[in-house]
Amino acid sequence: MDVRCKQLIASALVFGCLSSAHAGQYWTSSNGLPVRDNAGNCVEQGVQANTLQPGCDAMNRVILLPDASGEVGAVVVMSEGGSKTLNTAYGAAYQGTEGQLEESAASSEEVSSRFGQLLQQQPLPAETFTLRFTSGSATELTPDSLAMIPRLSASLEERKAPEIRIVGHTDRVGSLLANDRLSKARAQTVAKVLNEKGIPMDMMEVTGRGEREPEVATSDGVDEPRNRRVEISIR
Amino acid sequence: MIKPGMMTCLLVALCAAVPVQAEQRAGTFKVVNGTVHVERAGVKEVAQIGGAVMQGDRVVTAPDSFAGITLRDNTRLTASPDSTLVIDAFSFDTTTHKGRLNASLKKGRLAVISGQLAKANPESVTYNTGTMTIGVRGTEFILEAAGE
Repeated sequence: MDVRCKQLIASALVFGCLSSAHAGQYWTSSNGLPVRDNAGNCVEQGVQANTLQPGCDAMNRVILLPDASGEVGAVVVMSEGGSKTLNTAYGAAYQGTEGQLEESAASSEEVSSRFGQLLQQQPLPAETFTLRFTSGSATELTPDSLAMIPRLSASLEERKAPEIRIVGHTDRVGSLLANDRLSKARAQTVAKVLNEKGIPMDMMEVTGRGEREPEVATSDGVDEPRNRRVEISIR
Repeated sequence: MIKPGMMTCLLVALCAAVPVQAEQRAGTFKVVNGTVHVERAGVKEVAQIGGAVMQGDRVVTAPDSFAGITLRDNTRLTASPDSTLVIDAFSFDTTTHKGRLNASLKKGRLAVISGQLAKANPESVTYNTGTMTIGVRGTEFILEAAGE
């Protein structure tokens, strides 16, 4: 093994070095994939590549990321060559030169160097406000809920092309269908209140989730005030 | 001068148009940084912030341009420069959270933050890149596509 190869092993993130690289400008692994340095850049044959080059970039790949709270979900990758489940942060699968499915972890360094700019362009997450009614009223919001309205306006102002979805929820007293209607009626009440505060009706999508999404899980038929609420989602 | 009859007609047209469009819409462009085009039914148009994304749309970003889309189920899709993204299918019921999302990255890079569809019905959400089909279990990920 020559000195060049030893340097590649030291710097390559994932793949080993091959003494006979495929035809092309870059070092490639036995799968035909580019050898990358610790910054995620392709390593050019002969000379160390400092910038990303088109030929090196071309690959079909999926990289799992942790979400904003640090939690990691999972993706199932299916191909003619089988299927793989990714469930660890920066776990990645790619399509090899023969169409086969390969697994190979990326790193947070590669993701920030290669995709940092892309991730910064993501639309703002939806923001949700939960409003409640005073006891026994279908129209009068609690003082806490009324106090949320200025925050809601601020959330609208920081967004480009904001959309509002108003979603009513019920407890589990009554039938599914009746609760669908009741939850939508609650949402409509809130839409009217917001409209009176100056938000145009056509900016708001009004819907009801009925008893499907309780804040507190209960048995059917249980009267639970915390589940009788309206959520306003701004995105 | 606008006659009273005309005014009523105008209002009716507006009132009818808004909710129908809201229902058909798959999502909305929230970020258009640079030049982004949408191809819909063979017609190519420049994408604008606030513009609709519909089922079947092909979204194409120019070099040095980014596109950020929020779908109706709160899925967020962000495309890098030189990307082509197709929304193959989209439907979403705001009451049951049932529906479908199939998207294909033909070229480029796409950052995905999945939404309510993947949470409620993960089997109804898939993404394609090359010969790979990705099923989502409520999560964030990046796709890359080499292009044809």
